[in-house]
Amino acid sequence: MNSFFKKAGNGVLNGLVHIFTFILRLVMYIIYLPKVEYTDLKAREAMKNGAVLIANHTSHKDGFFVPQLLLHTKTYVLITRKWYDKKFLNSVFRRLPYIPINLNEADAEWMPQAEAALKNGDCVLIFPEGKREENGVREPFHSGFLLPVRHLDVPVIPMAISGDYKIFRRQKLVIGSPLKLDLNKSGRLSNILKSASDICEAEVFALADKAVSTK
Amino acid sequence: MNEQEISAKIKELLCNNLGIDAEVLTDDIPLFSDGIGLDSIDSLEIIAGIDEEFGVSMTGVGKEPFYNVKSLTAYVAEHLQD
Repeated sequence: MNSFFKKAGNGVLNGLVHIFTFILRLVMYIIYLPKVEYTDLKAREAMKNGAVLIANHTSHKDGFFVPQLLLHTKTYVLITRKWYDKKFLNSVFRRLPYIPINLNEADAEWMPQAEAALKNGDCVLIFPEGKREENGVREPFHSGFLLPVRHLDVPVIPMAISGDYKIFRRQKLVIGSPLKLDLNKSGRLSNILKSASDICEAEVFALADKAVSTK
Repeated sequence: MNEQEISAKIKELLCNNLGIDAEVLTDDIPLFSDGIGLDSIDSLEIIAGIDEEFGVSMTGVGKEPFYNVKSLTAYVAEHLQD
Protein backbone atom coordinates (compact mmCIF):
# COMPACT_ATOMS: atom_id res chain seq x y z
CA MET A 1 0.00 0.00 0.00
CA ASN A 2 2.83 2.32 0.95
CA SER A 3 4.60 1.60 -2.31
CA PHE A 4 1.38 2.40 -4.22
CA PHE A 5 1.13 5.83 -2.58
CA LYS A 6 4.85 6.39 -3.16
CA LYS A 7 4.50 5.59 -6.87
CA ALA A 8 1.36 7.68 -7.21
CA GLY A 9 3.02 10.60 -5.40
CA ASN A 10 6.06 10.32 -7.63
CA GLY A 11 3.86 10.29 -10.73
CA VAL A 12 2.03 13.41 -9.57
CA LEU A 13 5.34 15.16 -8.84
CA ASN A 14 6.67 14.19 -12.27
CA GLY A 15 3.57 15.64 -13.87
CA LEU A 16 3.82 18.83 -11.84
CA VAL A 17 7.49 19.31 -12.76
CA HIS A 18 6.68 18.91 -16.45
CA ILE A 19 3.76 21.33 -16.23
CA PHE A 20 6.01 23.78 -14.36
CA THR A 21 8.66 23.40 -17.11
CA PHE A 22 6.07 23.99 -19.81
CA ILE A 23 4.84 27.16 -18.10
CA LEU A 24 8.41 28.39 -17.62
CA ARG A 25 9.07 27.76 -21.30
CA LEU A 26 6.03 29.86 -22.27
CA VAL A 27 7.12 32.66 -19.95
CA MET A 28 10.65 32.46 -21.33
CA TYR A 29 9.38 32.74 -24.92
CA ILE A 30 7.32 35.79 -23.97
CA ILE A 31 9.86 37.72 -21.93
CA TYR A 32 13.12 36.87 -23.68
CA LEU A 33 11.87 36.87 -27.29
CA PRO A 34 14.36 34.10 -28.08
CA LYS A 35 15.78 33.61 -31.54
CA VAL A 36 17.76 30.64 -32.84
CA GLU A 37 20.15 31.19 -35.74
CA TYR A 38 21.84 28.32 -37.57
CA THR A 39 24.96 29.27 -39.47
CA ASP A 40 24.87 25.77 -40.98
CA LEU A 41 21.73 23.62 -41.18
CA LYS A 42 23.89 20.49 -40.93
CA ALA A 43 23.97 21.17 -37.19
CA ARG A 44 20.22 20.67 -36.96
CA GLU A 45 20.53 17.34 -38.75
CA ALA A 46 23.50 16.26 -36.62
CA MET A 47 21.49 16.87 -33.44
CA LYS A 48 19.04 14.17 -34.47
CA ASN A 49 21.70 11.47 -34.12
CA GLY A 50 23.34 12.51 -30.89
CA ALA A 51 25.85 15.30 -30.47
CA VAL A 52 27.70 17.13 -27.75
CA LEU A 53 26.56 20.74 -27.68
CA ILE A 54 28.97 23.27 -26.23
CA ALA A 55 28.23 26.87 -25.40
CA ASN A 56 29.57 29.89 -23.59
CA HIS A 57 28.15 30.24 -20.08
CA THR A 58 26.73 33.66 -19.37
CA SER A 59 24.03 33.02 -16.76
CA HIS A 60 22.43 30.40 -14.51
CA LYS A 61 19.51 30.54 -16.93
CA ASP A 62 21.58 29.08 -19.80
CA GLY A 63 21.01 25.48 -18.73
CA PHE A 64 17.26 25.92 -18.97
CA PHE A 65 17.20 28.37 -21.89
CA VAL A 66 19.10 26.34 -24.50
CA PRO A 67 17.15 23.03 -24.29
CA GLN A 68 13.86 24.95 -24.54
CA LEU A 69 14.97 26.27 -27.92
CA LEU A 70 15.96 22.86 -29.27
CA LEU A 71 12.63 21.12 -29.07
CA HIS A 72 13.36 18.87 -32.06
CA THR A 73 15.84 16.91 -29.94
CA LYS A 74 16.08 15.77 -26.33
CA THR A 75 18.89 17.66 -24.67
CA TYR A 76 20.54 16.57 -21.44
CA VAL A 77 22.39 19.28 -19.55
CA LEU A 78 25.53 18.74 -17.52
CA ILE A 79 25.04 20.61 -14.26
CA THR A 80 27.27 21.09 -11.23
CA ARG A 81 26.31 19.16 -8.10
CA LYS A 82 26.40 22.46 -6.22
CA TRP A 83 23.04 23.19 -7.88
CA TYR A 84 21.79 19.68 -8.56
CA ASP A 85 21.92 18.69 -4.87
CA LYS A 86 20.10 21.74 -3.50
CA LYS A 87 17.11 20.58 -1.50
CA PHE A 88 14.17 21.89 -3.57
CA LEU A 89 15.96 22.00 -6.92
CA ASN A 90 17.05 18.37 -6.64
CA SER A 91 13.47 17.12 -6.79
CA VAL A 92 13.07 19.14 -10.00
CA PHE A 93 16.42 18.34 -11.64
CA ARG A 94 16.22 14.59 -11.12
CA ARG A 95 12.90 14.51 -12.97
CA LEU A 96 14.33 16.35 -15.95
CA PRO A 97 17.23 15.53 -18.29
CA TYR A 98 20.04 16.94 -16.15
CA ILE A 99 23.28 15.08 -15.44
CA PRO A 100 25.16 16.07 -12.28
CA ILE A 101 28.91 16.52 -12.12
CA ASN A 102 31.04 17.23 -9.07
CA LEU A 103 33.59 19.82 -10.12
CA ASN A 104 35.50 19.56 -6.86
CA GLU A 105 36.83 16.07 -7.47
CA ALA A 106 37.74 13.74 -10.32
CA ASP A 107 34.14 12.77 -11.02
CA ALA A 108 33.64 10.41 -13.96
CA GLU A 109 30.12 9.29 -13.06
CA TRP A 110 28.57 11.77 -15.47
CA MET A 111 30.31 10.09 -18.40
CA PRO A 112 28.30 6.83 -18.63
CA GLN A 113 25.10 8.85 -18.27
CA ALA A 114 26.14 11.27 -21.01
CA GLU A 115 27.27 8.42 -23.23
CA ALA A 116 23.99 6.53 -22.75
CA ALA A 117 22.10 9.65 -23.85
CA LEU A 118 24.34 10.11 -26.88
CA LYS A 119 24.00 6.44 -27.87
CA ASN A 120 20.25 6.94 -27.69
CA GLY A 121 20.54 9.74 -30.26
CA ASP A 122 20.00 12.53 -27.73
CA CYS A 123 22.20 15.57 -27.24
CA VAL A 124 24.27 16.57 -24.23
CA LEU A 125 24.81 20.24 -23.50
CA ILE A 126 28.05 21.11 -21.74
CA PHE A 127 29.48 24.47 -20.71
CA PRO A 128 33.21 23.75 -21.04
CA GLU A 129 34.20 26.93 -19.22
CA GLY A 130 33.06 25.09 -16.09
CA LYS A 131 31.63 28.25 -14.53
CA ARG A 132 29.76 31.38 -15.48
CA GLU A 133 31.58 34.23 -17.16
CA GLU A 134 31.82 37.02 -14.58
CA ASN A 135 31.53 40.56 -16.01
CA GLY A 136 31.91 39.18 -19.51
CA VAL A 137 35.33 37.67 -18.76
CA ARG A 138 35.64 34.39 -20.65
CA GLU A 139 37.11 31.32 -19.03
CA PRO A 140 39.38 28.81 -20.78
CA PHE A 141 37.71 25.55 -21.79
CA HIS A 142 38.33 22.40 -19.75
CA SER A 143 38.89 19.57 -22.18
CA GLY A 144 37.02 16.84 -20.21
CA PHE A 145 33.88 17.41 -22.29
CA LEU A 146 35.69 15.72 -25.17
CA LEU A 147 36.00 12.34 -23.44
CA PRO A 148 32.51 11.10 -24.45
CA VAL A 149 33.13 12.56 -27.90
CA ARG A 150 36.29 10.47 -28.14
CA HIS A 151 34.60 7.32 -26.87
CA LEU A 152 31.64 7.54 -29.25
CA ASP A 153 32.98 9.62 -32.15
CA VAL A 154 29.98 11.95 -32.10
CA PRO A 155 30.08 15.49 -33.49
CA VAL A 156 30.55 18.58 -31.35
CA ILE A 157 28.24 21.47 -32.11
CA PRO A 158 29.45 24.91 -31.01
CA MET A 159 26.87 27.42 -29.86
CA ALA A 160 26.86 30.96 -28.56
CA ILE A 161 24.36 32.41 -26.14
CA SER A 162 23.99 36.11 -26.67
CA GLY A 163 22.04 38.58 -24.55
CA ASP A 164 21.75 39.48 -20.90
CA TYR A 165 18.33 37.98 -20.11
CA LYS A 166 16.74 41.39 -19.77
CA ILE A 167 12.95 41.38 -20.01
CA PHE A 168 11.65 42.05 -23.53
CA ARG A 169 15.18 42.20 -24.92
CA ARG A 170 15.96 39.54 -27.49
CA GLN A 171 18.02 36.59 -26.29
CA LYS A 172 19.83 34.76 -29.08
CA LEU A 173 21.28 31.32 -29.59
CA VAL A 174 23.65 31.08 -32.53
CA ILE A 175 24.51 27.55 -33.65
CA GLY A 176 27.65 26.84 -35.65
CA SER A 177 28.74 24.02 -37.92
CA PRO A 178 29.23 20.54 -36.44
CA LEU A 179 32.88 19.83 -35.68
CA LYS A 180 34.20 16.40 -36.46
CA LEU A 181 37.30 16.01 -34.34
CA ASP A 182 39.87 13.26 -34.72
CA LEU A 183 40.45 12.38 -31.08
CA ASN A 184 41.61 8.82 -31.60
CA LYS A 185 44.90 9.62 -33.29
CA SER A 186 48.07 8.40 -31.65
CA GLY A 187 49.75 10.48 -28.98
CA ARG A 188 49.17 11.54 -25.40
CA LEU A 189 45.48 11.86 -24.64
CA SER A 190 45.75 15.12 -22.71
CA ASN A 191 47.63 16.81 -25.58
CA ILE A 192 45.14 15.59 -28.18
CA LEU A 193 42.17 16.75 -26.12
CA LYS A 194 43.82 20.08 -25.29
CA SER A 195 44.37 20.97 -28.97
CA ALA A 196 40.83 19.90 -29.88
CA SER A 197 39.45 21.84 -26.93
CA ASP A 198 41.30 24.96 -28.12
CA ILE A 199 39.65 24.58 -31.53
CA CYS A 200 36.22 24.27 -29.89
CA GLU A 201 36.90 27.27 -27.64
CA ALA A 202 37.87 29.40 -30.65
CA GLU A 203 34.69 28.34 -32.50
CA VAL A 204 32.36 29.13 -29.60
CA PHE A 205 33.92 32.51 -28.84
CA ALA A 206 34.00 33.46 -32.53
CA LEU A 207 30.26 32.69 -32.70
CA ALA A 208 29.69 34.73 -29.53
CA ASP A 209 31.59 37.70 -31.02
CA LYS A 210 29.62 37.39 -34.25
CA ALA A 211 26.33 37.24 -32.33
CA VAL A 212 27.17 40.48 -30.51
CA SER A 213 28.26 42.29 -33.67
CA THR A 214 25.09 41.35 -35.61
CA LYS A 215 22.62 42.23 -32.84
CA MET B 1 41.58 -12.32 -11.26
CA ASN B 2 44.95 -12.07 -9.51
CA GLU B 3 47.03 -8.91 -9.00
CA GLN B 4 49.32 -9.72 -11.91
CA GLU B 5 46.40 -9.93 -14.32
CA ILE B 6 44.89 -6.72 -12.91
CA SER B 7 48.22 -4.94 -13.28
CA ALA B 8 48.59 -6.11 -16.90
CA LYS B 9 45.08 -4.89 -17.75
CA ILE B 10 45.71 -1.52 -16.08
CA LYS B 11 48.94 -1.08 -18.04
CA GLU B 12 47.13 -1.96 -21.26
CA LEU B 13 44.43 0.57 -20.41
CA LEU B 14 46.98 3.32 -19.68
CA CYS B 15 48.93 2.65 -22.87
CA ASN B 16 45.92 2.30 -25.17
CA ASN B 17 43.69 5.03 -23.72
CA LEU B 18 46.22 7.62 -22.61
CA GLY B 19 48.93 7.07 -25.20
CA ILE B 20 51.65 6.24 -22.66
CA ASP B 21 54.72 4.49 -24.04
CA ALA B 22 54.63 0.88 -22.74
CA GLU B 23 58.41 0.84 -22.27
CA VAL B 24 58.40 3.59 -19.64
CA LEU B 25 55.35 2.32 -17.79
CA THR B 26 56.78 0.32 -14.91
CA ASP B 27 54.85 -0.68 -11.78
CA ASP B 28 56.59 1.95 -9.68
CA ILE B 29 56.91 5.03 -11.86
CA PRO B 30 54.69 7.87 -10.55
CA LEU B 31 51.84 8.51 -12.98
CA PHE B 32 51.45 12.23 -12.29
CA SER B 33 53.76 15.28 -12.15
CA ASP B 34 57.42 14.25 -12.02
CA GLY B 35 56.79 10.73 -13.31
CA ILE B 36 54.77 10.14 -16.47
CA GLY B 37 53.22 13.61 -16.15
CA LEU B 38 49.54 12.75 -16.38
CA ASP B 39 46.93 15.40 -15.57
CA SER B 40 43.34 15.66 -14.35
CA ILE B 41 41.88 14.73 -17.75
CA ASP B 42 43.95 11.56 -17.76
CA SER B 43 42.68 10.72 -14.28
CA LEU B 44 39.08 10.95 -15.56
CA GLU B 45 39.94 8.54 -18.35
CA ILE B 46 41.60 6.19 -15.85
CA ILE B 47 38.49 6.26 -13.65
CA ALA B 48 36.20 5.65 -16.62
CA GLY B 49 38.44 2.85 -17.93
CA ILE B 50 38.71 1.10 -14.56
CA ASP B 51 34.97 1.32 -14.05
CA GLU B 52 34.37 -0.19 -17.49
CA GLU B 53 37.07 -2.88 -17.23
CA PHE B 54 36.67 -3.96 -13.60
CA GLY B 55 33.37 -2.44 -12.46
CA VAL B 56 35.24 -0.60 -9.70
CA SER B 57 34.20 3.01 -9.08
CA MET B 58 37.04 5.39 -8.24
CA THR B 59 35.05 8.60 -8.35
CA GLY B 60 35.79 10.70 -5.30
CA VAL B 61 38.69 8.61 -4.00
CA GLY B 62 41.81 10.47 -2.90
CA LYS B 63 45.05 10.84 -4.83
CA GLU B 64 46.89 7.91 -3.22
CA PRO B 65 45.50 5.07 -5.39
CA PHE B 66 46.53 7.00 -8.51
CA TYR B 67 50.18 7.26 -7.48
CA ASN B 68 51.44 4.44 -9.71
CA VAL B 69 50.37 1.19 -11.36
CA LYS B 70 51.10 -0.72 -8.16
CA SER B 71 48.75 1.43 -6.06
CA LEU B 72 46.04 1.34 -8.75
CA THR B 73 46.34 -2.44 -8.86
CA ALA B 74 46.07 -2.70 -5.08
CA TYR B 75 42.97 -0.49 -5.06
CA VAL B 76 41.25 -2.47 -7.81
CA ALA B 77 42.18 -5.81 -6.20
CA GLU B 78 40.80 -4.63 -2.87
CA HIS B 79 37.51 -3.40 -4.30
CA LEU B 80 36.98 -5.96 -7.04
CA GLN B 81 34.88 -8.25 -4.88
CA ASP B 82 32.79 -5.41 -3.37
